[in-house]
Amino acid sequence: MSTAPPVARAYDTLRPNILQRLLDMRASLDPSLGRLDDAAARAQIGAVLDHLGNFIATGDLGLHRAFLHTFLAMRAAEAQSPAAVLAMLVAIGDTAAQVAQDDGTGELALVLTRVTASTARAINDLIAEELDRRLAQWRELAAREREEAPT
Amino acid sequence: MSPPPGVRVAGDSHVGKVRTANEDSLVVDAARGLYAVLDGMGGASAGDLASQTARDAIVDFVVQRRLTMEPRALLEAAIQAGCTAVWNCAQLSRERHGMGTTVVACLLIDATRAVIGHVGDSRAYLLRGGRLQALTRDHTIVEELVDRGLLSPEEAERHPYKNVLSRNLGAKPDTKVDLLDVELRPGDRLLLCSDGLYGYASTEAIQYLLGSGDAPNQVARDLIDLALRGGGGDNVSTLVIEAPPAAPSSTQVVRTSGAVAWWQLRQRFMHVAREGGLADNPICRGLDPEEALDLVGLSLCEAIFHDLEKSTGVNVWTFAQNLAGGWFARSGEWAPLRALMDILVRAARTVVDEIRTLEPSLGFLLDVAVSRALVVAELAIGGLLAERLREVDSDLIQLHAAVMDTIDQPSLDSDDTPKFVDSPTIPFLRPDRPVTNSGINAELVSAIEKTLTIARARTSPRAELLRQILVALETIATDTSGNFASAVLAARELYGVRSVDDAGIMPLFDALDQARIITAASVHQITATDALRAKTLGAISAAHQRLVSAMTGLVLEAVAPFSERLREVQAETVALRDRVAHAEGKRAQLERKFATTIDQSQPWEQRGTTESEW
Amino acid sequence: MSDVDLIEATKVLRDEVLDTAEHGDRDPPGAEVFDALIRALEVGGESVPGLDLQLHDGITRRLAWGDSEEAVLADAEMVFDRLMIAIERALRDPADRMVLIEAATQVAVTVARVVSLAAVARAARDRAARLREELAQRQLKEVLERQRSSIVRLELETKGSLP
Repeated sequence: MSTAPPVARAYDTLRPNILQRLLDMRASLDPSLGRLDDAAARAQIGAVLDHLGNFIATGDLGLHRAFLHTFLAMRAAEAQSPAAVLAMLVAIGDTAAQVAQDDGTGELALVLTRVTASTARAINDLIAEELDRRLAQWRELAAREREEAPT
Repeated sequence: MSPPPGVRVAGDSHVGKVRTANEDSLVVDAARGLYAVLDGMGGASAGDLASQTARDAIVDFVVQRRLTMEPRALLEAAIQAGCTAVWNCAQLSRERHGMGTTVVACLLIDATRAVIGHVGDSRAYLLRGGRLQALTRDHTIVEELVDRGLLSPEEAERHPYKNVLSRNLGAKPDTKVDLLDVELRPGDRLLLCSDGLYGYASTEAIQYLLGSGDAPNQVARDLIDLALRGGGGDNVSTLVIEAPPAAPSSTQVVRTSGAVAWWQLRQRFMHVAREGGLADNPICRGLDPEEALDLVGLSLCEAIFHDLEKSTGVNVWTFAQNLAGGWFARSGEWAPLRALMDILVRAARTVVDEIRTLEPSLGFLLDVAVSRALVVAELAIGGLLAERLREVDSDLIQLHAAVMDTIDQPSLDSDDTPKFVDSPTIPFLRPDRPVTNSGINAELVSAIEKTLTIARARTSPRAELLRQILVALETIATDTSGNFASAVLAARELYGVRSVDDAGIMPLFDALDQARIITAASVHQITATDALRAKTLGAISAAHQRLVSAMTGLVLEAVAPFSERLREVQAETVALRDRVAHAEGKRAQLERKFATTIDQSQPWEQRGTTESEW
Repeated sequence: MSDVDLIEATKVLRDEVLDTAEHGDRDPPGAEVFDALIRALEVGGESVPGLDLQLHDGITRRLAWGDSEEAVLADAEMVFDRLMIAIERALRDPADRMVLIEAATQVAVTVARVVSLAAVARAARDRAARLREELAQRQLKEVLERQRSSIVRLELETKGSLP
């Protein structure tokens, strides 16, 4: 993995192009993005890109997971399934990598692809954790039902 | 018009696993560049007839008028002709009333231009650069409400009527057709499909299959197989239109040299997987170590190889789905699957690192491609996890409802169980609401009483509810107050205390329907003139109508608290989201500050403090 | 009069019963109820699934478009009342009146059943939706806790850094 500072700087330089490409194709990233107005879509996608930039600079997996945890929970409150969130974030990462590739910054393209892989891995871990919590809740409720069922 | 050079098209259709007839139709007219998928609806064989009628009308119109109309107007008019044809056909017979069909059609002008026209929820997609994009919006009531700003996208996702169409061919003599001009680039693929595909296959899976380098006829078949594996609950039709291919690029390098280099190092992959303990993973329990390595390790290695060859992700996707799907089906836990994937990822990265050492340029391209393949694996697994989460949520909600019913169900024997709601909560149930009174006299009262006496005599003594209804009808029919009070009072007595579900409510309406039938028969048995019988039936029927309306009003009253509680909870969620958003803003600011001050000369893994709180 | 004549005579009452002068003749309120009445006459007055299905579709579409169950019920009541008046005025033969009244009552009970079923289904959905909201709230509360930890940690990390 490259340690060169220019990767983070290259990302910052390319960020406006990445954002514009994502805004242009936002309906294909996720239908819910397609329905947002320009300002709202820009804010939501921009927040993801900001965080990706930070992650490229810090390499801090803990902060990355924290961001993804928040992102997943906020989208869940909007009835978006975790699979759709995963697909959207992967699509954002893929597109960013493609922009970097088109721009000739191959190293950045590779970093972005690796970051996307970390993202997908972390999201699945978070989904699995939530699944465990819900299963525990189910078991608790099932036990309660057995205790309180009318005889 | 002959088909543009280099353009390849293929379509396929299947009845599915549940339906007994295929009501979809296809148009593949390469000579005229006309392609379409139609999905018929309607009872008996009406759906079949609707889609075929529309299909034939559209094709005939294009054949006759294509030389005299420009493409966009031609396609729109052809679809309108289809609509008129279905409407006219539906008028010919009562059994055909309500029949209709959706349509998504493509008129290919040349290798770089097309027009798409659609009505309904059959779709058109464009695959470009490996990404799938929906070109059409479904004509459902819910989508229309979202477009008008009357429904939010979140509410639309949960809406129970999200599949109810707002437009189709045949509901009316004409319809509004949505048209779209599409610019085609080299390598693009268009997909036209019925809802039997996207209703049973994920967008990602469709994207990967469409993006495989396979010929359109193979892809069309594979997409159908995908829908059948997903349940196949509907007819499914797919039509793939491929623009002429792009010139070779760096992708070609990976496809050829990269794939070969990868395959040549497969033993290295297997070695690292073996050393990583793949055979000891619980998922491989019961398998001989070499068997485990072959079944799991070599399978992934092969899948990556084939995907590198074709610049697709379908093989890794399938591998990951089968691996995770099989494990979850055995109630497997997450940790072993994650551990197994980590072993495989390490093996893959080792191979890539070795290739980078030997051939830096090729290795670099391969690093990107293999990383991408591993993302695809996570996507496939994520889809299964999310599906499992959805199932558990559904079970949790059902169980929660059952537990709450058990705890909250009032004892029917309890003296303090409230029998009446003192004040109505919906305007319709106001007792003072005036009702139309056709005028009542002593003769009519007597006829009503006689009719309902006969009706009660015809009723089994065990049918207590029915007898109570007949008594209530007499009270309401002879009431001279001119308002809704007697109906409301009678309805509350009959409604009593019951659960707010089908089992609680339906016996009431079954009994009301029986009362209707018995009453209608009984009125013919009273000694009276025909005119008096008619007036008597009219008065009892008016009473019946008021009683059923009041009963329904009580059901609405009973369900009102569910909506109110939901609104309260939704407001709480909004407030919570705002707090999270605010905290996230602060966190993001601090993270940015941290990122700009961190020492970036350090290796990526060693910058900052890796959190271990998870 | 014959069945066919009665059906035709009833169709003539449409404008009056649905008050198309006020509401227009394309989808006036209660149209699905009047159409169901015509179908009830055509099938001969016994309960049939086909009647339920088409009326169910019509009411479902209205509810999907955002009309309340109460509005559908009120429109059905209005149609019934106007129909009774129109029957009295337009049909001389008591036997014809009785056929039409029976069909109208059948439709009224069916409408009530369909609307009640829709309301009960909505209650079940609302309950499920409420539970989903509560699950989502739990997730958000967990996130808030973790955000607090992250913020504390980041404040420590960036203490003394240049703004």
